Amino acid sequence: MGLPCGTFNAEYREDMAILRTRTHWGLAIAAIVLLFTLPSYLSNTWLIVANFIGIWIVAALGLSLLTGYCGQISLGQAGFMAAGAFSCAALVNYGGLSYWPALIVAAFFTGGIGLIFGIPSLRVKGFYLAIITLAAHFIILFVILHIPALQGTMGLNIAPPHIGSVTFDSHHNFFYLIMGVVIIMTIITKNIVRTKPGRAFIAIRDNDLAAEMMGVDVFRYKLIAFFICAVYAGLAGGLMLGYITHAHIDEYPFMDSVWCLGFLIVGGLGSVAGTIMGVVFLRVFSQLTYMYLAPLATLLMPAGMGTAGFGIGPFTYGLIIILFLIFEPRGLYHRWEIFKSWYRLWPFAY
Amino acid sequence: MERGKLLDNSNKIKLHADDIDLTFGGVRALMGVSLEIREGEILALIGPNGAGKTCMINCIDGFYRPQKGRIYFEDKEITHLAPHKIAEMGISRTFQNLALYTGMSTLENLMAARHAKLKYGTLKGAIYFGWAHNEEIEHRKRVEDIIDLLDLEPMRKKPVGALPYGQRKKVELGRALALEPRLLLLDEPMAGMNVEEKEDMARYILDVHDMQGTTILLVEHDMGLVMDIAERIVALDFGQKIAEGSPAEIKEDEKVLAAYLGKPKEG
Amino acid sequence: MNTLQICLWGLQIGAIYGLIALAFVLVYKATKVINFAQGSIVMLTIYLCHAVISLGTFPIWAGLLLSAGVAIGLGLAINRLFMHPLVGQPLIAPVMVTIALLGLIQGLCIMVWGDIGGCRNFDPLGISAGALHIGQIVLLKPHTLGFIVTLVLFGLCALFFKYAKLGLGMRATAEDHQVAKVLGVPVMFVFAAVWALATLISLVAGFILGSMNGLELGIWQIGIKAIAVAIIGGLDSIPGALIAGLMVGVLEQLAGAYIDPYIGGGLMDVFPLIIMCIIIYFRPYGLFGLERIERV
Repeated sequence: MGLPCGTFNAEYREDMAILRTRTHWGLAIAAIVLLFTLPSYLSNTWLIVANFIGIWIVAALGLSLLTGYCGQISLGQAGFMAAGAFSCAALVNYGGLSYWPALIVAAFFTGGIGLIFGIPSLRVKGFYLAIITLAAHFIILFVILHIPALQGTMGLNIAPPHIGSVTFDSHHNFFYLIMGVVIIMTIITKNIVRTKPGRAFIAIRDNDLAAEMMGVDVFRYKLIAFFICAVYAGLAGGLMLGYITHAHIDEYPFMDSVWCLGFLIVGGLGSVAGTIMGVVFLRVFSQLTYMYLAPLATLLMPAGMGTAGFGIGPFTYGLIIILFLIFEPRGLYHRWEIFKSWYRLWPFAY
Repeated sequence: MERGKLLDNSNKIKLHADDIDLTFGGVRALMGVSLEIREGEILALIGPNGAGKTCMINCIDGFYRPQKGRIYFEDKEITHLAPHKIAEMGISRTFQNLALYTGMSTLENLMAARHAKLKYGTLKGAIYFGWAHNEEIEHRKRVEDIIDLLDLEPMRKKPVGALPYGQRKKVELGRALALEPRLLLLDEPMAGMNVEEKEDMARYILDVHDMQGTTILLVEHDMGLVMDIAERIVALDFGQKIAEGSPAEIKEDEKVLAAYLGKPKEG
Repeated sequence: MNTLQICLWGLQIGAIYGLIALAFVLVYKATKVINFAQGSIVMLTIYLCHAVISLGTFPIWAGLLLSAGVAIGLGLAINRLFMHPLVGQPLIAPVMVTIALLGLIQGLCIMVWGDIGGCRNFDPLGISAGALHIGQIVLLKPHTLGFIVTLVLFGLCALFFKYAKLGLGMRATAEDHQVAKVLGVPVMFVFAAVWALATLISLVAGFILGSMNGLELGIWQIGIKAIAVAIIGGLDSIPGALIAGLMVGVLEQLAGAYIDPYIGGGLMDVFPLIIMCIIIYFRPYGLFGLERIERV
């Protein structure tokens, strides 16, 4: 990490700060202003894309803590999102809660489900655990389908959430809500990773045996990681429910769990900024694919019936992730770092 | 603190391992080994390869569970405690084959070892401002002292995965020290180093011992260094204790000589 | 329906699970890569086989040989394109590649053969509708064929690993890549061979699955069950894959027959996963897996 020329850290407080100089503060504020005026420049199509990006950022940040930082691969993020969405919908429909408390309760309830699937981490690790989370996805969806009150095949509806007289029923209004949540969750995630729990996560990822012997209660912190990851997923699921005002298991297919992992790979494992970059990159890309490549594929492929357009999405997603793994395994974030260090010295490249 | 002052309580026993048996399947790695480490001393554990030295360290810090025997640290039994509990009680170690957190910088590695000393929990960490921030700064100061002691300043912010071998060994010693151990287990801290690095490392170990009065258990193959640094030596061979005493006594011990050089032919 | 009948069907279904798990275990044993795309590969090989057979009018055996060649080519291509560049990288990278492949292959199949919801007939041997009647018991022909083929393939595998030079080389590679290489085992060749073998086995499994139920784009989901079976068997144990497959098949059919009516169906889809979660908790290395001692 380089500082601008002539700036030195004289205190630990300064060394630990994320926004160090006035330029940093200025840029951060400018970015937030830009973000919140975005709806005025974006067309409705792209506003919808932006909203889904926001929801997926929340889910991916949670997965980033579990997989990117704590090293426990999870293939069940969409399943946990489904749990969040359905528990939130059930709390609103049957529990008589309004949306906001239901959202919080649902998030923590999902965290509890995450804990259950984290318990095997006491005995198993690595890819075995990944397969348990894969099972988690299918088991959660199975349970949802078989609780009659949740009407898994039909789905549950709720009214659009509102604060006072402001109802979040348009893409425009919901954008502000989602981006607010995204900013809060990003700050929380960043704080977690730069303090005690974050270091414990990385220690477990890099060398779990050493971590245990250097005083980290590995099992406890793995459970904490599972819990936090599932809370984020529950929150994302609840937001999804609030946005589309509908909870249905078809919204949470297994492949979404896989793509969620793909966001991390493309962005860069073990980096908060990278996670956000990964989600933005892949979601924008998939929208472009849908708009431009899908019609082309439909023309070229003989299947008729126009299904080629459905296939091109997963195909290109998978291809991009593989290309990143082979050619830039450290993800977009690494590219960004290279760019930053180049920019810092520009125009004197030495 | 002067060395003379430490000698006052040199009879107090810091760690007592009693009759330890450790087996893997059919292999008996340790057979009835007893060990006493006195307050404030540097005890060296020597023996040929496969003698069970590392196994002994692994038993003490809870990584292996001995089938038989008990271990007491400061008069409290630690035989069946989880490794992280033992670390919290003040036993810290380095590893024979490096076991650093390669994705973190030197500074973060040391801060990660402060884990047990940091009081705030996950929630306060997530909020950060206030408690966590202040505590981080306070502990950062302690960590910087260690960085200072071990001359690690130039690599403070470098990821340890990118450091050369000798430096990583130093970072590992630093990480062990960041735990503020009352008993430090050093598993071949000088393995694979050149003479100069070895001397540096020996200096650091003596510094730590003299300045903080840390009790040290040292496993090392370089006999010259062991004889220089250690106050007492225990020799193991094939999972059994064969000798114990001052460096001078060990040098003359027939069993030790036989273990290292082979038995002299009779007749 | 009586219990014996259900158990026999379970054994036959379970044999297919075991067969797919075998492909999975082979790849894992030699390369230590958990192939999450196994189910997709089964789907792709069988769709390719279907395409090859419907190319023209040549005898069935020629079509099958050609499909086998295509499947082997597919395995070699996956190894060369996606696995080879990642040899020596942390294991997480090739495993992530297989996870991405899962999506890529699905997308490919949807693009080329997609008529969503549609099911194609696939019956080159003309056995789909046939059944054997032994007393009260009814055995469907494709299931029975699958059971026999599975047993034969497992037998061949066992002999191969015990006696063939390449088989021994694969076992050596499984233990330690670098040591094997130093001792003269052509590790890269072994990787390629294993992938080719795995796709070939996938083709056989897919062929039988297709003869049972026709072709549809949900076939890949059997890969999830196969992973569960492989884990239960212990990931690196070939007999484990067979035994676990048979066990899971029987338990799943029993659960389907006796528990499903009470909870409204669908249990068969997740039952193997539930068994896996329970077994993995009590025996982290599966039923027949090799337990490794951790060192520092």
